[in-house]
Amino acid sequence: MSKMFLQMLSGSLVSIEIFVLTLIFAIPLGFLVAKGRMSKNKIISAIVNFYIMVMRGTPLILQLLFFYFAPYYIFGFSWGRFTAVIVAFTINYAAYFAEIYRGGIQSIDKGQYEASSVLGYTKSYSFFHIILPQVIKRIMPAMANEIITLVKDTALAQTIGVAELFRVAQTTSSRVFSTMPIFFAGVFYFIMNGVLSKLFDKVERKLAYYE
Amino acid sequence: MNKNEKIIEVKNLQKSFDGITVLKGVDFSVYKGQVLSIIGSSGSGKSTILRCINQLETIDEGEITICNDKLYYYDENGNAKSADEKERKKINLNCGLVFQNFNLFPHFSVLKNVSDPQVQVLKLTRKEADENAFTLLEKVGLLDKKDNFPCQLSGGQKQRVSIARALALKPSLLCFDEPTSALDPELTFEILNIIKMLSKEDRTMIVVTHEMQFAKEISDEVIFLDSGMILERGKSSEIFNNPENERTKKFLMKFD
Repeated sequence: MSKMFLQMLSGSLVSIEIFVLTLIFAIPLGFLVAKGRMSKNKIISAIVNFYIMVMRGTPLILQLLFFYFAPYYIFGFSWGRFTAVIVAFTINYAAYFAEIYRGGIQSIDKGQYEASSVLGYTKSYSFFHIILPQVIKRIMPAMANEIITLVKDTALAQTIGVAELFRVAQTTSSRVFSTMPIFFAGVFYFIMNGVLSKLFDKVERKLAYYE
Repeated sequence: MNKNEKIIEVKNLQKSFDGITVLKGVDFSVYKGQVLSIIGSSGSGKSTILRCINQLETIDEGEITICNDKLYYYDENGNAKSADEKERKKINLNCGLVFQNFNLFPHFSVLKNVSDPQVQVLKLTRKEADENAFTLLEKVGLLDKKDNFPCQLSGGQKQRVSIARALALKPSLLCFDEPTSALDPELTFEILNIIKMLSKEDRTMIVVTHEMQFAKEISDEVIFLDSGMILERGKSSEIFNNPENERTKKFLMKFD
C-alpha cells in the first residue's frame, strides 16, 4: 500500500515538473509569439498566424508524437521523452498564451498610449508601467482557465511513455486489480486545480483595486 | 519674457488620412499669454490640428514652430524636414494636451497620475513631484481625492485630474481637445471654470470646443474651421458679434 502511494507520489512529481517547466518556458515565449502575430511585417505575422493555427487546430496528443519522433526522421537524432514533452507542451501553450496576450494588449484603449506619448514617457516605460499592468489584469481570468487546463493536459505525456501521475495510476491499478489508484489520481488533479483556482482568485482580488 | 513672444507658429499645415484631406493649409500663431479657440463643426479638422502639434500625428506638408524650436520646417533647398528624436522630445515637453476622454491611467491613484510624469519625465524626486501634485490638485479642488482611483471619480473630476496632470509638466502651450464633450452639461461648467481660471493666469492655450459662450469669454482670438480650412479668424468679439463669412454666420446661428 505504502509502495503504491510512493509510486503515485513520484508520478505526481513528474506531472508537476511538466506543469512548472511548461509555464516557465511558454509564458515568455507566448509574449514573443504575440509580438510576431501583431508585427507590422506581413510575412512574420502570416508565419506566426500559421503556427498558431496548427497548434490550435490539431490535437495536442498528435503534437506530442510529432515532437518525439520528428527529430529522428528529420535530423537523425532523438531526444529524451521528457524533453519532447516539454518542447511540445511549451510550443502548444505558447500559441494559446500568445492569443490571450494579444487580446489583452489590443483591448487597451488607444488613449492610454496617446496620453503616455503626450506626457513624454519613453516607449518602454509606457509599455511596462502603463500598458502591461492593465493587460495583466484583463487576461487573468483567461490565463487561469488555460493554466488549469494545462494541469489536466499533463496526463497526455504518457502517450510517448513518460511516467506521469496518470500513467502510474493506470499501471498500479492493473497490478492491484483496483480502480482506486485512478480515483486517487483524479483527487490529485482536483486538489492541484483547487489550489490554483484559489491562487488566481487571490490575484484577481488583489488587482481589483481599480476598474 | 517678451509679451509678443510667439509660442507657436503653424504655417500651411496639411494633413490627409487615407487620401481624405483633413487639413488643407492652416496658418495661425499664438503669442504668449493668449488663448486661441478653434471652433467649427465636427469633422472640420479641429482635433487633428492639436494632434499634429502634440506629435500624435505626422503632417503631410507645412511648418510648425513651438517656442522657437522647429518641429517641421523646410531647409534652404525647400526640402521638408522634421526635428530629430531629441528635439522632438524637447518640443513635446513644451506642449500639454488635455483629451476629450481624459485618458487617465486607471491603475494609478489620482496623486500618482499627476506626480508620476514629473518623476519620469522631469526627473523630479517623488517628494518634489508629490508636493507639486498637491498644489495642483488643490487648485482644481480635488486634494481630498488624491488617494482615490480614477474609476471612483465623476467625469468632471477625472477631467480636472487630467488638467492637473497636464499642468504638472509646466508646458508653455496647453491644448484642450473638446475638454467638455464627454461630460454632461452639469459637469461642463466646472471644467470651463478651471480653464477660465487658467486663462487669467496668462497661460498660452489652444482650445478646441463646442461651447460657444465659453469660447467667446476666454479667447483672445478665434478661428472658424470648416472642412480643413480657416474660413474666418479674428478677435473673439468680432467673430461672435459680427461674423462676416456666411458659413460662420450659419454655424453660430445654431448656437443662439
